[in-house]
Amino acid sequence: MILRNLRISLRSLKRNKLFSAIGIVGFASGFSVCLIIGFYIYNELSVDKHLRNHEKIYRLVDATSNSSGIDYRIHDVLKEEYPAIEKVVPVEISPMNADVYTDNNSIYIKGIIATTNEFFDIFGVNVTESISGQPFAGQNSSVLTRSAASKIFGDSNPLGQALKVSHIETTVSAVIDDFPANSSIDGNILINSENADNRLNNSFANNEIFSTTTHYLLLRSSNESTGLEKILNQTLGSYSRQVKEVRLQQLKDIYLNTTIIDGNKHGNQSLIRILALIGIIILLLSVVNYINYILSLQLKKYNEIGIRKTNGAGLSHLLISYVSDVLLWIILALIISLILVKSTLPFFNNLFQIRLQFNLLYSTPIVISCVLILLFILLLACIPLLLLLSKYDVQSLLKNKTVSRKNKPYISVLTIFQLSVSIVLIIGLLVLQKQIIYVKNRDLGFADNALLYIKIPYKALNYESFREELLKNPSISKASLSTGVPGSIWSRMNHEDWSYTLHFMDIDEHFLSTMGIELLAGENVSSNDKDKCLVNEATLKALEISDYKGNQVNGMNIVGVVKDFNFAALHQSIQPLVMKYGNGRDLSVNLSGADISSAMSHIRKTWESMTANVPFEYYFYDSWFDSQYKKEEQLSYACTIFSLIAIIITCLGLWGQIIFISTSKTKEIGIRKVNGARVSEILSMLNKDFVKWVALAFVIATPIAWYAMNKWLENFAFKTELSWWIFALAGLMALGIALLTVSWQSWKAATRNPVEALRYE
Amino acid sequence: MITLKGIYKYYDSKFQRTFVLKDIDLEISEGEFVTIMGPSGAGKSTLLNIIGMLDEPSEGEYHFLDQPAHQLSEKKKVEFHRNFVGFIFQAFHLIDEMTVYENIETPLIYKGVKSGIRKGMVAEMLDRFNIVAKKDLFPAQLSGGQQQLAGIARAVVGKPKLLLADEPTGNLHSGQGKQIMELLSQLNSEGITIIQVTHNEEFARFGKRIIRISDGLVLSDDIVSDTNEPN
Repeated sequence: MILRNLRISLRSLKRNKLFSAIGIVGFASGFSVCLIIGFYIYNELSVDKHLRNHEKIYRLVDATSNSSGIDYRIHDVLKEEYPAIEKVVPVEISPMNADVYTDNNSIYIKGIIATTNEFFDIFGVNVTESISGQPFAGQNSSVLTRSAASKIFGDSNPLGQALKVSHIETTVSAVIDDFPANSSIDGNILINSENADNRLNNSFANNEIFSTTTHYLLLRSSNESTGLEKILNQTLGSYSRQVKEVRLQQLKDIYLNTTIIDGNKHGNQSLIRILALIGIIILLLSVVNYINYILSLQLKKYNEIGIRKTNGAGLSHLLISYVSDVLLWIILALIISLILVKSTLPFFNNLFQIRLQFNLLYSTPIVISCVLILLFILLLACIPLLLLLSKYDVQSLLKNKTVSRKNKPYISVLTIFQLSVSIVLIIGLLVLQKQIIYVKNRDLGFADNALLYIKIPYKALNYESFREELLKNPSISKASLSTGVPGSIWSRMNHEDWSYTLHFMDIDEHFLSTMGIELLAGENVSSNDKDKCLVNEATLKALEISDYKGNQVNGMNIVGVVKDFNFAALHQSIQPLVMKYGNGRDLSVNLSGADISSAMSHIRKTWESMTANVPFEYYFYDSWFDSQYKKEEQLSYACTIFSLIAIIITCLGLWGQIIFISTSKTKEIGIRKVNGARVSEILSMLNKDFVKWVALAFVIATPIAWYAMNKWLENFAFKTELSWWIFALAGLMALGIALLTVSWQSWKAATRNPVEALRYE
Repeated sequence: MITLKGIYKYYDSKFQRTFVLKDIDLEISEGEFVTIMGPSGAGKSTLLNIIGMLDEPSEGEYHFLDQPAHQLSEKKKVEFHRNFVGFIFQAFHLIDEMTVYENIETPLIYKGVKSGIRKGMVAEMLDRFNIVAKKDLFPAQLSGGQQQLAGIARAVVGKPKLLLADEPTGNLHSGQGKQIMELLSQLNSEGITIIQVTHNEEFARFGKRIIRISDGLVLSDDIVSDTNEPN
């Protein structure tokens, strides 16, 4: 029975080949996009959930500074005094590149973790080789991931070898598996933080310097977290005066929370939200298409249902044959989607810089949501049938003329919806592009062109003599040493009475000229007065002083004011910056006007002659700054591709509509032509509806897009304008796309010989 | 078998009531072959549809096999279509996506006849109407006459008591039409009650009783005399 129905459904599919192909392919492409987005979101949401104990693992967060770095000294207290805590481990992650030396090699390795032996147990790390029973054999031991080990030592056995990590001397005592992609804790070299010298982070507060770290706790039960939080806040202060108020954060919440300062790997929550929205929109668009097709095909179905009823079909029979039609569609669409997903997954992986695997398909939430979506569509598709049966008797079904027009308003609403969504997406894309072009071309306030940044490891060479050595090359005229450079200023200060954050840099007297920063008033810093400083305009504004003269900031006399320049990405407005004289090891070299390749080879040669095998690492400021917009570019890629897919789905829908309209109006066109209508008149008759729909969609879409893009632009301190022409252009584009899509079919219908159309009456 | 008492059918529009059937009284017993004739718009098809329970009378009583058909539930009507009536249409109304075989088989499936028995019944019909060779063809591949043969085969495969034919020869040329009419006569002689609607005087006389209606009223109800029977 079901087989027979499927066979018959297949025949009807073949009979309406083009129509079915449009419908199925449209639906399949929409569904595959949803699947891929689903994979991505599921993958992002499942970070850290692979751990057996993940629900019982928490970390301490300093609630006042919103940072995970807390006094290291409370480690022992946590371990001893609180019965709710089963285990505790300090984990300090430095996600930066670190210079690493062996006896005969030196490279940069990304990601250093300072922790203890507890770490491997709590986080389920697989230790593949080790010297002793514990991964850290002693206080000066280090543990390498498999990939770091092969990068540093090649094929030779890393165990027992000496390894210098920056200035820390260690011996490799174990090798572990690489951290999985879905772990928010990532690193390549682990050092033992039982050794106080290895604690990566120091803080200065209340007149003492102390180490800070992130404390991860394994609780006996996740129910105890609120109680424990309360007790910790009541008691921790008595053990350390550096701890004011703490919060417990569950491991699985870390990855997508970017408000807390830490060294963990983080996801992009706004990207997830936008993608989820786009996924739902695309799904809706393809479902709408699908329902449009069903409604269009019904013209024929009316008659068939009538015949079946006179032959004694009951409601269940009708439903079964109808469902088998829909089911066939869905099965075919599903097969095509799976093929599409499988073949396009590498492309999307490349796009998002991730590793999604096809077998995510078999994970329970994905399977359940797929089944739910398909059931939903099945139900949705059956509604027209049930409405039909309740409304019309067999007689009018057999005549099939009275009902065909009644679906028209329904279909127009669906089409207008699709067009509105497309217009919103087009506007979104235009604004996104405009903003990216804007931020990339904006004047940063310093000469970022041909400006080189060289990172010098601690004590790798004599910084100042290296700088002087470089200047001996005639093509290099300016170079400056500083602590912190635009794009990487980490020293900042907050105060509870301040409404602003002060940023600090140590610069030398060459900094302003090297960077091309304008000194507006006063004088440059010099080595003579170390308690004098320069500030930027923003500082004056923040301190609410009109003239720098005679004013102080943080105990230093202000001697000059520089023009504001962007030292962070353009998401932020320019913050107060204080620059004082100091010795730094961040080297900036201005190469403007020089032959860059010969200058670079000179720098490299000088570097190699002056350092003992220290790896050479450099960036050009312009590309380095641009890389801060990677998130936006990623978003723009994703949005472009998905929006294009959405627009194509809409086009398929429009195409289906025009095929339906032109076939159902075959007779009308014939009669009009016999009565002397010209092709152009027929064309305008057929296309009129579409122009009307685009116009209506434009009216609906514009305010929505305007609101949404305004919201998005609020993320940027420096933003492009929402010009009126963006909206006009989007409307025109939508109109153009719509007319292009329907015109070919309209033309075919309009130029057909009217005799053919009227023959079968 | 069929008793119509005071059947009215009308449509109300905003300002007036349009009558299609007015006060029809009719009695048809088992085994009859009745022809309903009349000009276009007289209400013939509506009357046939009411008898076939595809349409409901606005007023009046309709008894089928002593059951009050005007009070039947939707479910009972389906049973009625399955077990007692077969339909033949002017436009054949075969399902395009089904082969001749599948079209004929359809009512049996709805009736719940087992696959083995079904095969035999369909084969018998194909054989009887001489369309065995066409069984795997689709309606579009057949001539009008052949399509109507398949249509009749589908109508009678379920062994209905009543066969309703709405201008069965309307889309056929006269040769094919005659063939179809002879077939209907033969079916009638085997005991099936037939009610047909036609415009064709010649084909009307295949029936044993001719009811003429005009403007919704019965004009005449005559038994066809043997002398008038076509030769």
